[in-house]
Amino acid sequence: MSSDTLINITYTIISFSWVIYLVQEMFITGASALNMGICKNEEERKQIQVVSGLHFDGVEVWLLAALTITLGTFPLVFGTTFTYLYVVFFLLLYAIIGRGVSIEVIYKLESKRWIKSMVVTWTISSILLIFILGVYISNVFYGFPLKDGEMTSNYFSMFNVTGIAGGLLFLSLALVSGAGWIKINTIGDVGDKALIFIKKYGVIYTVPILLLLVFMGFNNTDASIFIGELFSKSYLYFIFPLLTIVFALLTLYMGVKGKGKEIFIFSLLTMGSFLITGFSGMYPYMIPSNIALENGITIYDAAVSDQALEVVLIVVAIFFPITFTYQTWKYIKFTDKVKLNDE
Amino acid sequence: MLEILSRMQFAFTIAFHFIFVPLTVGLIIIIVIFELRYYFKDDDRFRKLSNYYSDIFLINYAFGIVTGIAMTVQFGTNWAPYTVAMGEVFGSPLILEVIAAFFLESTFTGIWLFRRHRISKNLRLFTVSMITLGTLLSAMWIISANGFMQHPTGAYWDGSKIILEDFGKLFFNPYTWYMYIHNHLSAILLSGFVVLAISSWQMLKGKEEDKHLFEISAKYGAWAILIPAILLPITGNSYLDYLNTVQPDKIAMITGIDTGGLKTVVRLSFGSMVTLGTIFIAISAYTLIFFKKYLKSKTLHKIYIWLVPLPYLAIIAGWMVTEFGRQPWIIYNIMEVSEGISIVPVEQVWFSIISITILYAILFTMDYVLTITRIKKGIVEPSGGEDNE
Repeated sequence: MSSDTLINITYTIISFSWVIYLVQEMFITGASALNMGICKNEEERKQIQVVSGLHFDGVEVWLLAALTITLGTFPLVFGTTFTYLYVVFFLLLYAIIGRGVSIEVIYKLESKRWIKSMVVTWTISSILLIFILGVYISNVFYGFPLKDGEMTSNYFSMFNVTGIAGGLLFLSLALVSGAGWIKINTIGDVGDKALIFIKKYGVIYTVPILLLLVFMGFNNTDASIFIGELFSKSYLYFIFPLLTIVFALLTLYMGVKGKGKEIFIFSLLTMGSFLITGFSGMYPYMIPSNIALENGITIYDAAVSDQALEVVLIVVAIFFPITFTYQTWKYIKFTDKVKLNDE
Repeated sequence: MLEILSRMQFAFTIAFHFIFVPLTVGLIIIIVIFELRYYFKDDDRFRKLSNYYSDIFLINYAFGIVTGIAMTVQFGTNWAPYTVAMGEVFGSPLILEVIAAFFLESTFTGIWLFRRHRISKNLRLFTVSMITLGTLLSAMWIISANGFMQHPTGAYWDGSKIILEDFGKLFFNPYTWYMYIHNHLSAILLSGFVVLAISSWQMLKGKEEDKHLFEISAKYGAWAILIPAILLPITGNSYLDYLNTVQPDKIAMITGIDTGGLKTVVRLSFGSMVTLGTIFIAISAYTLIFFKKYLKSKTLHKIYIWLVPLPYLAIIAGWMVTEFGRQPWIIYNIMEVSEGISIVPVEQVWFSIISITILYAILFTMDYVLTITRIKKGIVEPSGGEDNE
């Protein structure tokens, strides 16, 4: 295989890992974040703990997969991004720690104060986690202030209109898909309450609005996800943003109708097609520059040697299908609806 | 200042991570043995023991995994030049660790945590076996990354970065395998001490009806100390012979030919590890030979509860020999530690080191309280719900 082909396949695999991670993470954090808004007692909360706790461990590893494959194949990208976003990545880490620990230990002690504090940690860390991821990903799509291999401003530049809109978009998609997930997987009132919650507080209406805001890319006038190599080459690529908008509207429609399963499916499709739009838009840049397009770091600038890429691709070719098989088996095996008192 | 802070932060976070790791990778092996006994002999006592120790495993696993993610993050935030230079070689073991091991461990831990009491005997054994396989593999991959840093093989330095030449050589680096076996045996030994201490506490203060169960686990605990304690000096010896050829500087520090500063620490750590190892053989052999006496002796029970820090000290001493002994190199004879540090605003590193210290203090307290509370609760049978077979 030629060097370029190897590099392109690797880029696709990293994008793919992000998609697989985020479409799952969104409904798990969303269901978690909803718990304080909808549960009237600990029995209901336990249902949500089970439907999100059962899968979160395995899902989180997709994030590690996306990050370590970047480390091993585009180390320059990994190093540059993490150094620039030092504080942001530590905050993301704290959110991951808070969520990972609290979800497992809520009911390990009987004290009411303990349960309360773990529930609050669980909720806040879930919201923070998906919000930071949204800010990060939308900045990745639109680029960083990169010039001559150096960042020209500090990490605060991430929190621009587009970045914040991206964070909020992820959060609202998470809440919407989380409500659908709870509805599909539980018996009792809690699923309906989740669906009512996202409608009553207007969460479903924010999805298409925030999506448009991100696509408009405020304060990123010079760089846009729609002027990259692929979008310039063929209008066919515009099918992805169009689909994203259609799915977002269908999510909204199903939200108004209060249909759990459809909300779940369309919100996942919204997220998936949004990510595909972004990853196609930034190609071939791994770190696009929002100062000028040519300042960005491309996949060709950052890739390691062909032999190292081959090792990674062989590993992925063997283990991704295996992982898919047992993770899918797990979803199927444990789709039994979670009842009350079902610890 | 930047360098000192980044080094301190890494040392602190890796040491903290390593409170949980040896306990979980060792304990799961003891659990899988219980589960096998339950599966083949249909002996319900082993199901109860497996469930009990699994609760302790799962609490510590949760803390182990999140503190492990902190290490990955720091490779980018604090050690970017190292990662950029090393990515090509360092990356593949890390990727393998994630996609060939973490996925397995995490996917099945989720089942073990939330559905253990609802699944069939077959699925129980399968789940525990997959977690065990995952922990074995993940330790192997991360140690092979460390093995390369200790003794780079299968790649060459082109003046600015490492280029992979031969993945087979990287994987079959003898340094990795010496470390891996030594490390895993020490983890089993440490878990043996924990199991023995828990069993002793239960015999002293636990519920009367469960005492016969803890007599069983005490025996397994003592064996889990004795077998590794005998094997460790044997593997350790050949490890040392091998070091003579690849890291003579470290041997000079260990034997006291080269002293001063960290080098003396290496010698003292080595001495402590060996002394403790000898004591471990004595303790476990005594317990097994005079097992009936141990069962009756309240004094021994009390003493064994307080022995738990010893294997931790031995393991930390061992790691100090390994890591201090390779200074100043981050990749042996290729790149120095000081060249690997990210240039970031020093305030940001202050922010991370202070916040992570506070957070870890909270986590440590939580883990301690949860583990002790769970230990003291004793055997608990699940109630309510239906089977998910």
